Formats: sequence, C-alpha cells, structure tokens
Amino acid sequence: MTAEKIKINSLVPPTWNRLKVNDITVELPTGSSAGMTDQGLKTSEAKPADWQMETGCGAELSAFLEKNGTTPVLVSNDGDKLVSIKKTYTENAADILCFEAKEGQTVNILTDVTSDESTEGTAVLQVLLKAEKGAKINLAQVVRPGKGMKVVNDIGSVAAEGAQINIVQVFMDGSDISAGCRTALEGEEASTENHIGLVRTNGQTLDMNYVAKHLAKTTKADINVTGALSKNAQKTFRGTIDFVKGCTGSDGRESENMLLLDDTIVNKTVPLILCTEETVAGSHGATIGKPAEDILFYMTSRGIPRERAVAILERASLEAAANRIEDEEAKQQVLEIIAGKYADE
Amino acid sequence: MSKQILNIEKLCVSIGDKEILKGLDLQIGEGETHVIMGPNGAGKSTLGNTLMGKEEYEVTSGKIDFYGEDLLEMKTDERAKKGLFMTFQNPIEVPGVRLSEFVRSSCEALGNKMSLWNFKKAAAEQMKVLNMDTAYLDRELNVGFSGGEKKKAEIFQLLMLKPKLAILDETDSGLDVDAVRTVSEGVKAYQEQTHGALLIITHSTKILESLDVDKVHVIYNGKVVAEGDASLIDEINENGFEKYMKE
Amino acid sequence: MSEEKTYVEDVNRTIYDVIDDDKDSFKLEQGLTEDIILQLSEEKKDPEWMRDFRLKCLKLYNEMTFPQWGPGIEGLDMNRIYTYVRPNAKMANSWEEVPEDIKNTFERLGIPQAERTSLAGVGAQYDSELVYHNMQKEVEEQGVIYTDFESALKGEYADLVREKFMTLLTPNDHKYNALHGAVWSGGSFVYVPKGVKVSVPLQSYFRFNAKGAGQFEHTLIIVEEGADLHFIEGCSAPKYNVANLHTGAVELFVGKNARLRYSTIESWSKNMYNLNSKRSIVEEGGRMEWVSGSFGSHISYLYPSTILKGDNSTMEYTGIAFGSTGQDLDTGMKVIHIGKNTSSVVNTKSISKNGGCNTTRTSVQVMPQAKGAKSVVSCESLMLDSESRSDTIPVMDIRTDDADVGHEATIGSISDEAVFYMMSRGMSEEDARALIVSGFADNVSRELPMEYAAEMNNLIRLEMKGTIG
Repeated sequence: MTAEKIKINSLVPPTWNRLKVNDITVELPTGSSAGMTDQGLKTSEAKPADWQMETGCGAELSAFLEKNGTTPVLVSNDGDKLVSIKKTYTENAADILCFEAKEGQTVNILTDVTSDESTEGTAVLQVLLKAEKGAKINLAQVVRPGKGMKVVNDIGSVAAEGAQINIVQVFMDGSDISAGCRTALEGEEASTENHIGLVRTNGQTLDMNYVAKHLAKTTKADINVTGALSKNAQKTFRGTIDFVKGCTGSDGRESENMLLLDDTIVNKTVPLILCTEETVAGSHGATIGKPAEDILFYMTSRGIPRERAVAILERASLEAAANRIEDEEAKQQVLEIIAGKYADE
Repeated sequence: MSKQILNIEKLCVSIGDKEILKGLDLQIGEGETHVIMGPNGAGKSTLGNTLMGKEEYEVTSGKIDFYGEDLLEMKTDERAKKGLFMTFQNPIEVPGVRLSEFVRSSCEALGNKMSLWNFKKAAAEQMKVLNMDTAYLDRELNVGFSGGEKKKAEIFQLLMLKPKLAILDETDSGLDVDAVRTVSEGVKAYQEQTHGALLIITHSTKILESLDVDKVHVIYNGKVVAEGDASLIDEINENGFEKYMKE
Repeated sequence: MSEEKTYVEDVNRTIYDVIDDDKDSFKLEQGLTEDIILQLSEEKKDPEWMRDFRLKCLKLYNEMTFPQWGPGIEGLDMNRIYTYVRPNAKMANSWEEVPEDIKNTFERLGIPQAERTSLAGVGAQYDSELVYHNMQKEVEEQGVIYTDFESALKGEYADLVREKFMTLLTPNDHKYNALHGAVWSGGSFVYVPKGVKVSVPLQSYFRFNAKGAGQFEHTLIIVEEGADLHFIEGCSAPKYNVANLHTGAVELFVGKNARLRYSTIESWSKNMYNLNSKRSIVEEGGRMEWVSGSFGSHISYLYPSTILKGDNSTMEYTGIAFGSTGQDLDTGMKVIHIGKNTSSVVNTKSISKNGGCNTTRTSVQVMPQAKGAKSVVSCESLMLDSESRSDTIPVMDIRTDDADVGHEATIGSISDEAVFYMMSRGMSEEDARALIVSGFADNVSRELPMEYAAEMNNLIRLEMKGTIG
C-alpha cells in the first residue's frame, strides 16, 4: 500500500513559520475504500460538479480524494428524523457524504466514528452540507477512534438566505485527529454555529482549522471551543472569521475555553479576524489555563478527590458542546457516549 | 407672549415605514418653559430627536422654524450652533475622550474658545451647582458612568454650552429623589444664568415641582391632544392620561 | 482654504516633507556585493571582528529567502538602495556647530523645542550618521553613556558592545537581520549603570534624506540592575518617488529589577519600506515597556519582541497603527515567557482608512518552566470605511498548565450614535469623527510625554481631515 503526504488545515493568511501553525502535513494511504455506505443508508450518487465546495481541510485534501477515486454520496433524509450514521472502522477508509436541506426544511444528522483497538490505519470523512433558503442543518459528530486509527474529519458547507448550519463536535480518544470546517454564509441572514468539545491526553493530538466566511449582509457566525489537555497532548485551533466586503451588519464571534492540566501539553490557539467591511462586529475571546483553584477547592471540600474533580471538569467541557445539539435524540446519544467514557475510569 | 423662537407646524415624522408624529403643532417663546407629557410611545422622544436632526427620523411633511430659520435645512451641528441643545436619555459612552476635552471642544465649536485655565475655572463653578466632583472632567466621556452620573454630566453640558432652547429628554427617568433635586437645581441655574427656553419631555412630574412652567402640551398618537398651563400637570397627576387617549 | 483642499488628496506633510539639497559627501554604488561591504567597513574604520561579522552576514543575506508571510515587498529593489549615505557634516557637540541646512530640517521637526523642554540628550541621525550629539551634564555625571554607535565600538565599553552586538537579533533570524548585520551604520549606544535612574527621557530622532537611501541604524541599550531609563525614538522622513528602505535593529538588555521604557512614534513618508526589528531580554524582576505609534510608511513589518527570561519579569506593550491609502502596515508584538511568575499585558489598536491595510500580528509563547505566567492581550481594530482592510492574526502557544492567558480581539466602526451625540453639541461631523478616533488612540497618547502625545494627536487630526465626502 502506498501513501501520499499532503498539507491540510492551512492558515490564510499565514504567519511566522517558527510557530509551526501555518498548516499540518498528514500522510494518507491511497486506495482507501468507502467505509460508510454499508450503514443501511438511503443514498444516491452525487454529481461531483454539484458538490465542489471549499472545506476546512482545504483543496489538497479534496484533490487527494478525487485522485483516490472517492466519489461523493448523497444521503437522503426523511424530514427532520435523525439520520444516524455509526461506523466502527476496521481498515483504511475514505468517504464523502453529502446532505442537502431543501427550502424551509430541517435536517438532523449524527455521525459517530470509532474503531477496534487492534485496527491500524487512517480514515478520512468529508461531509458536505447545503442548506437552501430558510433551511436548517444540525450536524452532530463524535470522533472517538481506537489508538491505532488516525482520523481526518473535514466539513464544507454553504448556507443560502436565512439558512442555518449548526455543527456540534466531540473529539476524544484515538491518536492523531485532524479536523477542518468551512462555512460559506452566502445568503443574507444566514447563520452558523460551531460547538467543539475536545479531550486530548497521552500524546494524542488534534489539529483544527475552522473558517466562517461572511459573504452576505447580516450573517452570523459563532465558533466555540471547550476542552482539556493533559499528558503530552497537543492541540492547535485555527479559527477564522472572514468579513468579506459587502457583508454589512454581520456578526462573527470566536471563543475558546481550554483547561490545561499539566506542563507536558502544547496548546496553540490562532483566532483570526479578517475584515474588509466597515459595519461589522467581530470578536474573539480566549481563556486558557489550569482549572480555577476555588472550584477545585469547593469540590474537594465536599469530599471529591482532586483527580476526580479534574475529571469532572474535563467531562463538563465535552458536555458543554454536546448540550448544544438541537435534536434531542442525537443529544442523548452523544451524552451517553461521553458518560460511557467516564464510567470506565 | 414673548418673542416666538420655535415654530412647529403640522409636523409628520416617520422611522422606516412607521409614522410616529402625525401633524404636530408647537410654538415656544423666548425664555419660556414648556412641558411635553404623554404616555409611552406617544412620540415624545421622536420630537426631541427630530428637532436635533437625527438621521433615522425622516420628516415627511410640515415645518420647523427656529429663530425664523428653517431648522430642517440644517445639519445637527449647525442646529447646535444656532442655540439648540438636547440632553440624551442614554448618552453614549465614548472611550478615550475626556469629558473636559469634549465639552471644551463643544464650547469652541459654539464660538466660546477658552484657555485651559479659564475652562477649568468655569467648569468647576458649574460642577459646584450640580454637586459634581471636578475629577469627572478627566473621566472618559460617559464611560462607566451610572445613570445619575450620566444625567448630571448632561446638565453640566447644558450649563457650559448655554443654549437658547434646551430640550430635556426624560432627564429625570431612573433617578432617585436626591438626584432629581440636583438635576432640578441645575436646570434652575440654567434659567437664571441664561434665561433660555426649555422644552421638558417627561412622563413623570417630579422634576417639574421646583420649576415655573409656562405651558403644558399633552401628546398622544403623534399629535398634541391637550394644552394648558401648569395646572394641567396636577390634573394629569391625579387622573392620568386616559382621558386624552381616545382616538 | 486652498490648503485645506489638498488634505483631501493627501495629508499636508509640508513640515515633514522638506527636502534639502542633496549634499551627500559620499555615496556608495547601488546594490550589495562583498566589495561594497569591505569598502563600507573601511570607510567606517571598523574593528576587524566587525568587518568579518559584516561579511558573514552578507553571505547569510544572500543565502536566505524572503519571508513567505506578510505584505508583499515586490516594489522594493534592493539593487537600487544606496546602503550608506553620510551627511555632509562631522559629529557636533553643540547646536551651534550643526550645519545650517541640517539644522533647518531639525527645526521644522521640532527637535530644539523638545530639547528646551529638558530632554536629556539629542542623538539625531541625519541620513546614516549621527551629526548632532549633545547630552545634558546631569545625565553624564550620573555615569550614563549615550553615544553614537561608531564611537561605542571604540570607546570605554567596546568589549561590552562586542559581547552584546546582534546576540539578541541574530543574523540567522531572518533575511533582514542578516542585511542589517552586513550594512548597519549609525545608531545609538546607551549604558545605564547599576541603580541609576535617568530622570528625563533620552531621545533620538531619525530621519532620511538622500534619494533611495536605506537606513540601517543600530540601537543597543543596556540598563543595569535596578536602573531606570525612558528612551524615545521618533522617525520621520521626507517623501520621494524612489522606494526607500529602513532596516534598523534595536537590542535592549534590561537588568535585574531594572526598568526600560522604549517609545516610538513613526511617521515615515508613504513610500518607505520599514522592515524594522526590535528585541528585548528582561532579567529577574525587570520591566520592559513598549509604546509604539505607527503612522507612516508604505509597508511596515514591525513586531517588538520581549523575552521574559528572569523570574517575576514583566512586559507591557501599548501600540497603535494608522493605515491609510497605499499603506500596508503589518505590526504587532511577540513575547516569550520563560521565567516563573512573568507577566505580559498587551494592548494594540489599529485604524484603517481610505483603502489602508492593517494587520495586527501577535504571538504569546509560554514555556513549560514559566509557572505562574500571566498574559493578557487585547487587540482592537477600527474600520473607518469599507475600502480598507483590517486583519488580526494572533497566535498563543501555551505549554504549561500553570499559566493564565487571556486574549480579546474586537473589530468595529465609529458608531453613528456617537457622531450624532457630538454633533448635537455643535461639533462638525469631521471634528466629531476625529475626536472619536483620537479617543480610540488615547491609550497610546497617555503613555507618551506631552509633546509627543501632541504630535501624535496632530498626526491623527491631519489623517482624519478630508475623510468626510
């Protein structure tokens, strides 16, 4: 089996090379087959020409998938009934799943990927979303592979007038995860929200690139990251709010709340705001550090051991994201997955 | 009646598609104190903002003359230069700009250029009337001011700029008894010092207790529905606006 | 009134754009070769080590690539830059000795006035060499050394200078540092002995004159244990049609419990490429304060950086950049927390107008050993129209749990509400907007000595003229 090295998650515009945040190189196996189509989904072939859109991971990944022969698959939906896709990877895989919400429609999606502890390989999942006028797409994703499985989780989406695209993601376990997400707010009053919960430990990494592009008037974007790092874990978050000329009255926000649990971790945050329009409101806020001593003191004073108290805070950072899932069924499933992780410990 | 300085005839004003003032008439003479009363949403604040020339307030018909000149032809700063002033309900916070710098620039724009020394002297005098610490001069304009502090700062500007007609837009709202008294003192000082006219927009009457009111106008649904002398205030205090709220 | 009209086209810079007759006594060939460097070294009577250092840097310069990020510098043709222009004057000790035309230029820039207000000394660089150097007795008696860089290489502190020179800004860092190392010329050396608190600010005023002249001054400041200094660097340059380059280097050593404040107001003419490097290293309990105002230049790359090496060392950065037509200002700061309980407070503001571009680029690094580190970064951008651009590119790289890092960035425009409020008090729309913008810049002007704050407000007012259509 051969592999190809490509650059993904590129920062635009780039900054000092020394900081090593301008992009990340990933090695992807060629010849991976589709892993998702056996999940009993109602699918039809999607015309690649209809689904050419920029994604968070970027053009090199899309070019790689095309060369690899991975074709986009359009997943049909049944009104606002949850489309639930669960996959336990057993080998290298590469998928492109497309979803569309027609005018006024709401589509709820949950993807949950994992792998056996024994499986070694790399899985690529690219999700492409189109929300038509006044439509709404709620995408929830859980990425929790086994130790040997690397995952590249990429999203590209387009929102028309008044459309909403809400994405909640939980990243835990595995080894190296790369995540990209780009939302083009093409219609007036289109909006997007990202809520990301992450826990990385024991040398696990997570490299993220999130972009919200404000292309029309009074569009809204809100990107939130909560998470915890410990034991040689590394995380890079790139978040870009891009106000394009003409997007008057738009509002873009990014916020990050990271718990750092020891001094072996590397936590990088790169929150860009790009602006070529006068009347917009853009903001970014970050709070990064160890858990507040008064909270830990409060919990230990009630008899909870310190380590357990820290685990509670870690879990809370995942649940903070999960609680933003709109579809009740999907929310319960994700909360259960998180509860399951902490039940083991 | 003294010399007329403000003449509003059949004024119609819209914000967006919504018509707020629907043919309002009002005349004010030199040095007179007028009160505009009316329930919430009657168009009281619209009148003040229109007189001052705020952009969203579109005059669709009618006229406003101030000292015989067409006010509607003038930009906001030109109106101020002609002697019009308005206290804001919620004066905006402007970070980095000191109150002293702002008021001194305003005085200068109105043709009263003062040396820093003279300005500080004049400011201290007026602040004394309002029981304000001169330390406020170095504070950033309205930044972090409480509701009462903002209102006092507005009255301080009134005393410094000495307009010919001052519009007080709900200056007494949200203030405690002591603060209302201080603001009234300031307004009285303005009358004594400049003999300027007042147009007091209010829906309560606390601030009026210590002032001599010449005329009261009740507005409802964008029009003046009743007019009278100061006794109208007591009448409204007792019976409320219901009587005037019939179509 | 006719003069007012020209503001619409461009700021009236007549006081800054005075161009004296080209009276350079000596000009090197354009372009950069080993021969030129050797010639320069000989002309400057460099010690041998410096000559070798220059040649090493030239080699590095020719090997290194241009940075792949930041504004384009395609318009800069290095072969057309004169590397060294010496003014038609030797060192002067008093104002009377300074030649008349040079004096005129300074007078228009207000230097003598600044001195009259008891500034401690003036080391004004006219083109590439110090022509005027004067120090008040008071400061000299305290044992403070303030001299031009060439003299420092040969003077009492020659060994110290050799030990420190380009050790903070190493030639390997980036291409422009290598260039600076090869062709540096002029600049200041300041040494403040242990415990000496210099009561008045030292200031130097840099200025270009010859067409196509590059300026590569080197500033080295050592503030010993417990000492205190405020150094002010002001820059302005007249306008030319040929691309001009400024690649200065500033190296600052802040000793244990010492404090150094380094203030800069730059109003380069708008064809200048300002590719400047500044770095400071701070020992235990020391404090570094940066105050920076960037108004001029065509392209700027400017990110003063601070290494908080000692425990309990602190840094504060206050900066503003004002980018208008034809300007692409890439400014910001870098800080590395190494010592325990170190802290950094950063406040940047940018104003973009009439097609100007601002990029605020920052980096905060907290190393694993920097327990108890605190960093607060705030970046505010003001957009005055939709023809301009404003980008914020911060990076935070945190490697310990025991750090408290906060970051805030906001972007916005002047509120119509505020303009209406001010106009209701009689101010014209133009004055109201100018006052609001000065208020936005207030955090910087508050940190500057009064005459500099006044100059900065004057620059803002000039820039704001003619913005109302």
